[in-house]
Amino acid sequence: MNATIDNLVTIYIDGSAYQVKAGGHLLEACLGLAQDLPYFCWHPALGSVGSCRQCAVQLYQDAEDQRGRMVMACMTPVAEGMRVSLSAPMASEFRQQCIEVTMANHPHDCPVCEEGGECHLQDMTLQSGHTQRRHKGHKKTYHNQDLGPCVGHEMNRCISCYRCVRFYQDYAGGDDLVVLGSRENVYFGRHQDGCLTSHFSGNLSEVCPTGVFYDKVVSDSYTRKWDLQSAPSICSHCSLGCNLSVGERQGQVKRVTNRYHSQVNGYFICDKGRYGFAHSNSDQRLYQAQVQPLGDTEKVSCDTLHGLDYVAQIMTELGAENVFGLGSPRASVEENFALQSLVGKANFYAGHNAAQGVIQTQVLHQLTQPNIYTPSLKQIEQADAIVIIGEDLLHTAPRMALSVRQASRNLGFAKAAAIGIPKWQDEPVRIHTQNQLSPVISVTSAATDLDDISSQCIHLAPSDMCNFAGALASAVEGQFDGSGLSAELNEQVQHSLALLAGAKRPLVISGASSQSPELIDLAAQLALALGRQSGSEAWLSYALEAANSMGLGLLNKDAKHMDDLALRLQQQTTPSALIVLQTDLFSLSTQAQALCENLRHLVVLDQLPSATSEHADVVIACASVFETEGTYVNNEGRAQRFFSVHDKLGRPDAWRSLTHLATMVTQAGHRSDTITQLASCTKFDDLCDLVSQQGGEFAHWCDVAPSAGFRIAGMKVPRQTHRASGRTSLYADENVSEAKQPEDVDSALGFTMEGTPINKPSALIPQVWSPGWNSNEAINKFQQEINGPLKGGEAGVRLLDTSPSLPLAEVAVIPSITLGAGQILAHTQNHLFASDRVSSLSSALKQRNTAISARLHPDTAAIMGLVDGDEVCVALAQTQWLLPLTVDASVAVDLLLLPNQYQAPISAGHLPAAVSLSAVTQEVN
Amino acid sequence: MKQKTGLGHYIYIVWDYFYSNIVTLVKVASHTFTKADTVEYPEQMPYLAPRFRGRIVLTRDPTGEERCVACNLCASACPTDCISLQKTEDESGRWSAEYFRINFSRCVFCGMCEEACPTYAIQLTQDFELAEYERQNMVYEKQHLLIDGPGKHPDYSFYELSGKAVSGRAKGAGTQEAEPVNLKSLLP
Repeated sequence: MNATIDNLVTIYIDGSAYQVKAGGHLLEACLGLAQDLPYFCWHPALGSVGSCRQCAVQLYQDAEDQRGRMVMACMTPVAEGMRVSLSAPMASEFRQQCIEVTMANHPHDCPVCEEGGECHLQDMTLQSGHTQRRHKGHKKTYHNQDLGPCVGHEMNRCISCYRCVRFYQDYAGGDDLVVLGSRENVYFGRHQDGCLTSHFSGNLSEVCPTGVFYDKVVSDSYTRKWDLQSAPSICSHCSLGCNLSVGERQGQVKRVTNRYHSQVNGYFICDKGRYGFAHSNSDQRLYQAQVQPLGDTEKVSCDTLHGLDYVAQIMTELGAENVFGLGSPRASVEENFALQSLVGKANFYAGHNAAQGVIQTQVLHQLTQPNIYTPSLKQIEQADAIVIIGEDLLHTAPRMALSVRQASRNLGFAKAAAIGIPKWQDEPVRIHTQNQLSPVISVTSAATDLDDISSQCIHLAPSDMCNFAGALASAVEGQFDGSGLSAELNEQVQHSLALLAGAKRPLVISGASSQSPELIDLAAQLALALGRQSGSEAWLSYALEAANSMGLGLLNKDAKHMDDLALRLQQQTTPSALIVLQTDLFSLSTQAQALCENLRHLVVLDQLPSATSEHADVVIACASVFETEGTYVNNEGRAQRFFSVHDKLGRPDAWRSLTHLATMVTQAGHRSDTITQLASCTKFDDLCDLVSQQGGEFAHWCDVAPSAGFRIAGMKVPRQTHRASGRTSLYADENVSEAKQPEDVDSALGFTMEGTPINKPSALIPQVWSPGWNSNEAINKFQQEINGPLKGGEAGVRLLDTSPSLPLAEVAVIPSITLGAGQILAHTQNHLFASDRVSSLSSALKQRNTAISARLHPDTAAIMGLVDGDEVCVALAQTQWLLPLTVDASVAVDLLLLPNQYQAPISAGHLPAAVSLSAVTQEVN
Repeated sequence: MKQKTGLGHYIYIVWDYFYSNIVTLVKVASHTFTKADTVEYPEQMPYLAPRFRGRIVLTRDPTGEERCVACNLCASACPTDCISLQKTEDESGRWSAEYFRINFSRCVFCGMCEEACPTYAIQLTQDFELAEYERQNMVYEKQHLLIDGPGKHPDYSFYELSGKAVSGRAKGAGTQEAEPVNLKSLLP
């Protein structure tokens, strides 16, 4: 049992010898060897509890033993020379009887169950050989609960495997999904009806082996798994780059599920990633192009090529040097690169404000320092001490918060390992460690959802946060004498120091939502100090602003941002034009209006209308993340490719529009090198080649995913399943003659069901399926070993590992905020379900975006004469925002927290700032 | 081997040819006096075996509700992929098809859909007269497919057995279902 992890042992399964990893259990070993063995209660991320009795195998004493004894594979550690049989009659009959009992109360509702066709219970029932119901008695029934807009509940289907509560409470830290009742009448639900509060509740539909918890959003417009045309995708909602599998039917994105990546998201994603796809189906989407010729007051719709032609005319008229481009941290590297090539490096600016620009160059500088390593989410789970500074992770990088939660258990795992309890023995580890957690120090401006696992929670205003981080860094180095800090803060530093003293693998987490470049720098200093103290590489992780912040930063190393552009346009004497890529200028900076006024032409390429597209004279509609291909670079510098799921809506790829534009401009006589190169790109691969020619971090760009020429047995990788239905009927109402399947020249995936469903490269797995394994549990057939990398290797390339240290770009210093009389410092309070335009279109998430209020410390509120529930008016320059006030003791003193809401009068891009706050006096009629 | 030659052999060959022709003529002529296998369609309808598979219909359960629950099994069983549908749900939780389309110009009347149907909703009838001048008219929508009766299996009602609560049938009210579990009860 104490065998070291990398030792291999030989076990005999049904007479054949296999080498497996020591330290694991039999179920894991069998599944890793592609054997079929049923299970319910075990989950690769949750460990074993041995409660469902489904993985019974026969264990023999030695080669002579013919009788053997039955053991539960998930509870039996592998040992050298172990002899087991999966097919022994006693074990297989036991498994069959077990499932017969489990099925005795299972309802006859597979046809109306959302899980039908991808149900682990269906698969395991078939696998165990139970086919005929013998029980003639009555079936148990249960009342259901309303669990909110995302997760549905049908309790009749429950087989009491306890996976849901083990995930919800033990893994994700939720407290409102519980087991109720007693004996055989247990009930998995809430104390009363109401929305599940965990931001990971959507995973229940994947964790539940049957249909008790199902995806309500999918159910609203339901399609069976086999009918979905799927493609591998990357989440566009935050900087972590979780891998997604996206399914489409009849031109509508129907659902998003987790796609396993051993280093990034593992088995779970957050609810924003899962439910935030409705923007792609929205009827607000822009269509084709709109052009407003000079002098006209209204835009005229035209087709995309005409729109592009108009833009080409503008570019020719004004001259290339007067056309600027604004890239987006939400657009792919290829799209940003195409825009950069079109307008030239000197005229390309990043679509974020000054603070984010400085943060971007700081982040790149710190993460490429030789002694600093930025861990993946899986590696974060191995940290034994974590300091989080200035980042409310659950709302800005939710999956990272989940990893931090797992890391906090490392003390317990180590303690259990000391007495020989392996990590996968879920219950013994918990009993042995009780409530002891690895040190997590959380320094934020208000209470966060990680406070329950934090050994120390400190709620500070941004300036104090910097003081604290600096003091702690020098204290770790032994150079801190306590001067310049308040006694209270000094005490906190000493407490943190004591907590971090024995750490062998410390990690510092910070991020861009603090809007404080100083904090980014101090976090790195702290990481380096802790690294030196522990004698290892400094581990440092930043949560960034958007999905491709890192990619845009690498393209735009001199960190030119929107405020720079505004300044340059002010000084520009010749008329100029700006091409904006998927950005809403007005939410970024208060200077947007002035910037627009200095332009003759504003061209917007976007998928949804925004304040910027209202101001623009040319709007070109482009494909959403589910309809195009591209690459995002996540917060650890991992480049990951996403692919189009369908192309039925007729919106062209943004990168393709830009290459068309380059061709038109070249034909009109402009012949700069970058434009000519861009004009020569006809396929996505050409563009990738061009990106890799940039060298440096981009040198291995073509290795991110297989190129469009990739084939398995001469065939493309199919997006559809081999039993996709309705091919000759789906569109027969429009025309009875079937149209040809669209071709995809840009990727190795085909819009077809022809091709092999297995042995695909990791970056090209649209959805997991294996014979007999229809649910997502089939992932064990795709892994090299349980919880290990996929058989095709890890998808994506980490760009920063080989990168030389990047210098800090010379950027303008951001002026510090001075508080005027009666003013207070306002900062952003992020909310996962409210923070951006794209997720605001998901009605399920909108319903969960509750409690929009400004927050203030009671002492500060008392000074200002405000009480909880007051309607207050927040004023920043000319802008006013009326919203309710919540008085919250966890908020730092002298700090106003404003919710980060899409389309709010004061957006996150305008903060931090000095604002004035006053109560709204109710008019008496 | 020695080759057969000579007059006798040629006479045998000629006789052989004539013999088979004469036998054929006699047999054909003899049918003049037997009963015809064909019928005078359309004046006279042919006999159709009880399991004859013709035009597909969607049936209703004994209470008159649509039987189809839009589970998609017929569509996935269809070898020509000529069935497509979309699920929708009423307020009570009852599933049904938002649209249900069969492209009869592709259908081979194999009956796999009927075999796959877990609710006896989709059934093949004895009607085979589906000819059209326009191929587009061979595309049948739900309103063309739905009939008023239960067809075969007249007593079967899926929601009686499914355990799911729908309008008019609460949890635990179905066949072979116990009353919903009372979690607050401490009785054994």
